[in-house]
Amino acid sequence: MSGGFDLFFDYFARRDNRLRRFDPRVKMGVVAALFAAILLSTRPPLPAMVSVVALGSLLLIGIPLGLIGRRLLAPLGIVIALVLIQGLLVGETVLAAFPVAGWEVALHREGLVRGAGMALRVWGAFSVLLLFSAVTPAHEMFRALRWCRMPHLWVEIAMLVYRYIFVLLEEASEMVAAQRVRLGYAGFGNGLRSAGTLTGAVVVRAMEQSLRTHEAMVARGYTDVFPFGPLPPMGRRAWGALAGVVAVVGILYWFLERGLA
Amino acid sequence: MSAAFSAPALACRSVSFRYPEGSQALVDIDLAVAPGEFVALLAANGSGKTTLIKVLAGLLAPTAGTVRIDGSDIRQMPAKALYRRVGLLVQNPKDQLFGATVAEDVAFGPRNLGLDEAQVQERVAAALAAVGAAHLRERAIHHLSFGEQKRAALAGVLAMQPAILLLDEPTAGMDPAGETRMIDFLYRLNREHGLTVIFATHSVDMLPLIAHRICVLEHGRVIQCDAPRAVFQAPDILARAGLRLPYISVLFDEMHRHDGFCLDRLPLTVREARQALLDLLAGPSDPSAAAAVRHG
Amino acid sequence: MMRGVVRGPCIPIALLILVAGLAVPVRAHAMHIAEGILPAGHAALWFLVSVPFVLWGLREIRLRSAAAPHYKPFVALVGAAVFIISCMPIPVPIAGSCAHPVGTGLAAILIGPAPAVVLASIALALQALFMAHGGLTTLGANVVAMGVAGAFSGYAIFLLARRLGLPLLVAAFLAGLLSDWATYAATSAVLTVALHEPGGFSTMLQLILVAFMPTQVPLGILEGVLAAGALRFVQARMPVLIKGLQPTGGAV
Repeated sequence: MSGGFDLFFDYFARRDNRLRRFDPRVKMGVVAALFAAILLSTRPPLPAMVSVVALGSLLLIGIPLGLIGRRLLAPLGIVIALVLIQGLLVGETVLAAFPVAGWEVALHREGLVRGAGMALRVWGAFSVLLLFSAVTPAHEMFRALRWCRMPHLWVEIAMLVYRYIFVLLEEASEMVAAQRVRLGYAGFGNGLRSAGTLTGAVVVRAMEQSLRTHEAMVARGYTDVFPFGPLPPMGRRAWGALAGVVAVVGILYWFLERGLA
Repeated sequence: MSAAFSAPALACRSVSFRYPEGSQALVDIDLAVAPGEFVALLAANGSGKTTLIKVLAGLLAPTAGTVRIDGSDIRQMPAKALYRRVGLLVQNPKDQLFGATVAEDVAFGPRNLGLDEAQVQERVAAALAAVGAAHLRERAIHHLSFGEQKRAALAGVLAMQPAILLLDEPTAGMDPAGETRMIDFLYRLNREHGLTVIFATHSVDMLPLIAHRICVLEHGRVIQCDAPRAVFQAPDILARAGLRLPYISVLFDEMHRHDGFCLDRLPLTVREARQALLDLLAGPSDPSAAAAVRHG
Repeated sequence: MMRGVVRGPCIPIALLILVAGLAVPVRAHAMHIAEGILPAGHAALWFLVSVPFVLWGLREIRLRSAAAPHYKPFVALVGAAVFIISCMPIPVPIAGSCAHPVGTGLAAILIGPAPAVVLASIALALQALFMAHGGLTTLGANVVAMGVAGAFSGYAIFLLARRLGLPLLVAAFLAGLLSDWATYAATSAVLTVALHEPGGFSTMLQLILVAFMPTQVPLGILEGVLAAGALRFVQARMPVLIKGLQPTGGAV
């Protein structure tokens, strides 16, 4: 059950380091610029470079290599499928042809290159995302989102969802353990039944929890709007840092995409 | 003890509560708590103490009777006015902690009161310092231990600066050191800062140390409401309600019943028990008791 | 462009089988469109498409929580529950690997389709940030596929089934099944629109559909079973929750 959650980066995001101390709004702006550059790029150098820098930074701030590796595997499936599909459908130059079930299937150079280019962009964007989430705790992201005029209600619900994921997860893990020690997952049919019960139990717990949480909120003066604190204005240094990094990304983009042509 | 106190800070008159599905949780409860009083609601599980706490906090409307705070019916009070006066610590801290960080959560109440940010921050700092959790300020709630969550939740309540504190099993699930610290803290809140405390619990051992009065609940009724010494004179009533004497008193009570050990009063705390033993060993002022001790 | 791929008259079945075979070992939650796959224009377009639905959902949450103040925490807790459900590793018998249900069908039944889109947007954002599923640039597209397509199709079939007098559990099963398959179909369509070569739309769509079929088809059935199982449990333990789900009542 908790398997998927070992990958939660949340824990690392609270460690102190240089990147962590940056204003989250600056980081968000930089991420947006990098995403734009990667998505608009048409050649490999830019995403490759961004990826190397981001992954290097992850190592530098002490994220275990194994964890980074596991995280990077997540998009692997869709990437493999896309590269193959591109290789099969696009292009003229046959690299390999082989018979499958009486048909002859061919992989093409152009398609594979195109697919690889896509894979690289996925990799680049993913590295940026990983780095961002490894140095920005959730509450700072929520604060930055509010500053970006994200609807108050969305942030409010997102915060509650985030908070109660951990509470429900704990309870769900206990239920799974209780099911498992009583052989609830021995055999496929059993497993399915147990999973159905678990799903229902999680929903019921969620309902009960929401009533208790609402009561506790009311007892602390809640009147239908979650009160957020004021947002500090973005300082001159933060704006400077943001402008600086975005400029660097712009120049890199221009140089790597147009300059080399 | 309660005679020393003036007009009640909180009073409930013939309060009954029945859940919509039909179970009668509270029957005809009368209770007046004086300002600065420390009242324990002692009850076994399922006797209605959590329901009573929720009714007192205005979260459940009684099906009959009224609850008054400083003389006004809480159902007529605006929520803000009510929760400025009354703070509630629920049993499970995770029901009560919904901010992303400790500081954000503690600030929830003060912000709801409409304070300006400087005051909010002041209150957050003061409340966290009071419960000894200043170092947890920026931590994520889900990274806290159970004891830390309890303290963070209490800080969130104290930041509203209530005059009356309602606590539902504040020490449940805590380790002995944490429990002692919590009791100590509540004692100081009550005796030094004058907060009125209503404390629902089923653990009896520390009550003689802190409570001015103990109200025993059984099946949603108050069957006894008196100073600890008086309540613990009647172990049978307690047993009927699924409760017992403090362990140290059980020891002396059994020595009294089975070994002919004479006591002018039953010790309720370790200190009283120690004194009683020292008195016995020092001189056989009471020959039969000394004989009993030697005999044992 | 498409010449010489397969020497055969009809849809290149062999090709489909090949791709399907290759994609099988891949974890099924790759069905969220991964970060960086969509070109900038497409990413922006899907964001624009998703925004009105999210705003609609927010408006509905606001209205309902004005009437019943505990509705908002309830929505949030259903969101947390769906998030956890969508992280339950479930063995898919055919693919032999772990897959996960999307849970939007169930959410739509419990809180209504538009609020379920809001939850999908939150869950997808949190999954992108903290678990590397999906992505931020593809958030709009994923919200459209999982949220809009998943929630509305699941909800529609649920209502239809109830109107037709089918039992609650059957309706729940259909909602889970259809929301999952609709997500799968919409995701495939979004990918195809973004990646196809001129003239190669249908071939690519078929390929993508087939590539993910081994995990998505059983997963949809599984999701239906889970939704039904969940609703059965809720019905036994907290019938209040689904009181509004009677045929005449419609929404909660």
